[in-house]
Amino acid sequence: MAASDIERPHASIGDLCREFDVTPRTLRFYEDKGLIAPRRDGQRRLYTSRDRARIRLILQGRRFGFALDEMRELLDLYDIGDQGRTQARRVIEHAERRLAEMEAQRSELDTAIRELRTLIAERRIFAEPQATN
Amino acid sequence: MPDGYATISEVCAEFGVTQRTLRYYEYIELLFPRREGTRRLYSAKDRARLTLILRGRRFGFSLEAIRQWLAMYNDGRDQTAQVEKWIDSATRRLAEMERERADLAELIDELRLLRNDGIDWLAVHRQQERARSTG
Repeated sequence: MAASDIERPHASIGDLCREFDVTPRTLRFYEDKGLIAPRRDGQRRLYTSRDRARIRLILQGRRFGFALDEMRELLDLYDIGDQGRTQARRVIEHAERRLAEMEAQRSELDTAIRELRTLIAERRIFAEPQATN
Repeated sequence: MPDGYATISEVCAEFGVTQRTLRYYEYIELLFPRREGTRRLYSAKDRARLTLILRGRRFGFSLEAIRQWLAMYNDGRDQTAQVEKWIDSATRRLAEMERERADLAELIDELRLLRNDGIDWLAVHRQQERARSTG
């Protein structure tokens, strides 16, 4: 254990929930999935700065749409002792894949927006009550 | 001529279109003027339809699209409230989709940055390794 971990008081689950704006449920879920492993003091969970760094990365990855399994793999690569090179390479691969997916999603959204705009314009033009005789 | 009807030349003057255009719209069944012998007579309803047709053309809609919309809204007033409601909810949905798109675009930019940082970092790292092994 790093010296800083001993010196610095550990954060509680409530502290981290406030810091990252997540629910305790979310943090317990990440723990269940083996992404973080806070220490226990009886019932209480104690989070080190390492846990905190992992949580930050998990939340960032989730925002980009990385799967939990992918996040676990990426986090574990931090510890393999090649100064993070493999980790960086894998992050780039996952990022490339998600970028392609998100770009496809964006162009689908563009099409849908264009179509809906046309539909609204059409209805505005043709919805006027037509004179009857 | 019956009351409220206009001749083809009157309609042309009113809307600034040629007789040929009006005959074409009739041929493709967008307009249905009354016939008296060879004379065409346009009712107020025909002229209201023509207003919509020409407006649709100005906005770049095909005649086929215009025909479909006219058929759908032929019932007039009763549907107007419903259409207004539809337009309201569709406009709200459109705003949501545009927000979604903006969020997605931002996320894409961020992720691209992250990837580029990763690529740069690896490149620097590789250079340092090389410098170390040759030095």
